[in-house]
Amino acid sequence: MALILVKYGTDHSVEQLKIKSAKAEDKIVLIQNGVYWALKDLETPAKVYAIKDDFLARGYSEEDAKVNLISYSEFIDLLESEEKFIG
Amino acid sequence: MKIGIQVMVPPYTYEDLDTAMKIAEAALEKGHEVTLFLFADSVICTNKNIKPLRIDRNIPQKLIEMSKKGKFEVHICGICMDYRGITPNMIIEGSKPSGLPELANLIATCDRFISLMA
Repeated sequence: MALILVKYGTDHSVEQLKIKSAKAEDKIVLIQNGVYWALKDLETPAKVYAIKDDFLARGYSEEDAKVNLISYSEFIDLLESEEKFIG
Repeated sequence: MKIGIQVMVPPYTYEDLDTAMKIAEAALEKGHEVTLFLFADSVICTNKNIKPLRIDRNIPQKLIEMSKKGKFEVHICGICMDYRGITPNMIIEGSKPSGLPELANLIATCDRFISLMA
């Protein structure tokens, strides 16, 4: 089980690899420009979340997101629940 | 829980320091302990002479306020400071020059380590 942080946009090869290699028991959190991934239908078995503040800051509304939007407080809860962290 | 956060990019140009501070604030509110380790150009944010426009966020001031509340430490890579001409008398209250041995110790002792490296 790992918490995977994605901070770059959809054209970033390393982020593509991180999302592609995530497993069902993993969790992916989209932050900064990584929230652009939240506009796509992601092909991953992992649970995907996006930081709400960063998503709204880029001019989108909550209905535009195809993943769960979370606060920083909820991010800390995820951080507590996962032992491994991949930044 | 002890959380370590590492940043390397400069403030205001990139978003990593803003992200690190928001994560740290949320963690502190939940009673966790946070150490922010500043590496490479991120050390610039500890220069107390930084004066952003009044409408913008003041990152050094925010770090001072967070460290005053306790359970929050700012460690600055000493070699990175030297490279950028930042002397100990220039850095904000609540921060301290540190180094790679301290970073290694932080990684070994913290419960979660968040790397916001490039």
